[in-house]
Amino acid sequence: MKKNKTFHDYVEEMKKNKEQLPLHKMDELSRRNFIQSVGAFLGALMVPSMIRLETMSNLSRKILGNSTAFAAGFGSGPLDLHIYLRAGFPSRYITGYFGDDGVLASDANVPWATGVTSTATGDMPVILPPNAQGLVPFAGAIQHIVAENSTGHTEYFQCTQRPGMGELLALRAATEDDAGYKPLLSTPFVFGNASNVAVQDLPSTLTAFTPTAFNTVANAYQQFSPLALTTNQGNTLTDSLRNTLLGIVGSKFENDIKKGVLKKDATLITSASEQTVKILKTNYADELNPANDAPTMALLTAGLGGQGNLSVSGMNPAQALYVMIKQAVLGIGPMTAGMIGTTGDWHNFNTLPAGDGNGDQREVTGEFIATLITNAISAAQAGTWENPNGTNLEIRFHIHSEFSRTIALGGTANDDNGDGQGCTSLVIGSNPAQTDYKSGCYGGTNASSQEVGFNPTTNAHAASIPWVSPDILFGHKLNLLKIKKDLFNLTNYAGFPGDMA
Amino acid sequence: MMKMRKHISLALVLALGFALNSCGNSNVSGNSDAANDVAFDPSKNSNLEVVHYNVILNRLVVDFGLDNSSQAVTLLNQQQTLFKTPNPKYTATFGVQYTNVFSLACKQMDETILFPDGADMDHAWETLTGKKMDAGSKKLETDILAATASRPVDEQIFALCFAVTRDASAIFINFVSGE
Repeated sequence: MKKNKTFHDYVEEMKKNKEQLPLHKMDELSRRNFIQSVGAFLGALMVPSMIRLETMSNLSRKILGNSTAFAAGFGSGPLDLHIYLRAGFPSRYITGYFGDDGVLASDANVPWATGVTSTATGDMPVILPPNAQGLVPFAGAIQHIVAENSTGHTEYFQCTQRPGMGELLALRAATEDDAGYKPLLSTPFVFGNASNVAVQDLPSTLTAFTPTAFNTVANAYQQFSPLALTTNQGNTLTDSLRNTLLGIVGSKFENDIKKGVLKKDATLITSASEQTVKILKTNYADELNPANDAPTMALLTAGLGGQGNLSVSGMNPAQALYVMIKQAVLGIGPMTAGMIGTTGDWHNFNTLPAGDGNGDQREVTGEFIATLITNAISAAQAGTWENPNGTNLEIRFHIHSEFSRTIALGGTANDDNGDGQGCTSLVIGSNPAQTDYKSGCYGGTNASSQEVGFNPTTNAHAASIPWVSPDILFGHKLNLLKIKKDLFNLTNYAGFPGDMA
Repeated sequence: MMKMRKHISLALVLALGFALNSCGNSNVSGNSDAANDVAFDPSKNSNLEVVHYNVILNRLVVDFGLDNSSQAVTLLNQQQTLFKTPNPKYTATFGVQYTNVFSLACKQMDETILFPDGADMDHAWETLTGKKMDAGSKKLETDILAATASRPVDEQIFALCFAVTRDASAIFINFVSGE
């Protein structure tokens, strides 16, 4: 028979719990739960919502180091970085697919037959070609899925956006904002030609989260130079006087807003004003400039060979990547950013590469991207960066292409890099022990170039199972990125029926 | 452990205080969610909009006497996506870029248009906000001139220009002061 606890029992239990879990030793989720339980408690006492929020923010700043960290886990990462590739990049040159027969060494779904690595992860195997062997330790965080129905060359990637409804970058930034994560800017950073991908083609409801595109790395960090105030006589105000002026005008602005605007609106505007003044006073430019951080750049560029056919509007991809990571670390932008590149089309490349190191542009391009990603996630795993909440930064790369060229064995005419395969979703993360998504290489083609589908619940692969639809894969990405679908009328995109994410 | 106790104690004290406060009639004045505590119709507050690209361009060309090749207009055009946003709100992104544009405008302006009387804010204030100076703006002028008292006149005028452009009355198209 269950014994009812006495008051004394509860007190003793509480003491015991406290001994087991002192606040400073709690994990972040527990600390966040603690703050939220304080909020619920204050709510029960009918404490006004703004006071509750203020109290929770103060506690959050003390306990988690960030006033809004209690609201969501976004400030703790992972940082989701998207690489968009136009022109038909065969993603198999970074990670293969699984075939129907499981005989990896002779299967058709890898760029070449020799040197393929299969890494058992508990889910499906991850197949890494010779040029991407650096990714082997991260196999537990690699997921590669292809969807059916290529739409050809288009900026409207089927797996990343729906016209008039949103694109992953803005949707994620808006979700973070809704969840209470408020970096200095609500707009994600994007490097490259934004018109090549529909990242800025958004409904008006997402305007505030429209990614800002940069065509040089310097343009990105220079906008965060402290405000320089110069008169028409050429006199430059001192930093001290600039800060005094910003203080005076900022204070009046915020007081005016508080007096003239409803509290819920005033809080948003005064918060933005405080952030504005902070940006204008602070030298984020030096922090974001890759030239000022040689040790980290050495990590990112280690072993990088030629870019092959990859072009990111003429920018150095490693430098762009540095800024993409650092802006999130500094809490400047959302925990997501993008890089837009073009690769070769390779439509009539009818022969398979002879192997690694032979200068084939498909292989060189794939190796460059794989090495850059390996370097970044290795650095993240080694604790190079902290997220805005002060713990080690976890990074996930999401590689997208409008479609992926087929690759078949034999090198017969029109067999290699032919048309017809759908959009791909390749995720590579820095935490191989992650449990947010199933790792493995899913789908593919068999030796006869037949599509190989998979059952996401059983992981069964067979030519008789259809590939996933782009709608399902788009829904999967929404789930994986924790995008609040109900906020954006995207609930029809359910994702996989199984537990892929 | 001590920190946790401190947080809980703080929360309890705050909670109790506000719970007791909520039992009686509150005489809190100024800012609250009650419509009669704000200066104007709350339905307008939610529609508070920052100045649009066209308004800014007009100010730069007409009020500041700048041409289309000026640094300020060039920067404005580089940021068209931001400044042409439909139903735009005040965000940090807007605040930073708006400030950058107008700091260039104050640098390159023809002083005789906005500051015909030297380091005096009246004309610039009326031109850019469409209002007469009130107690709040007069205090702003006093504070700015005090901060720049030891500086040359061009810096004083620049500072006044900067202050007017950064005021809520200049930034929002439909702002009504709660003064």
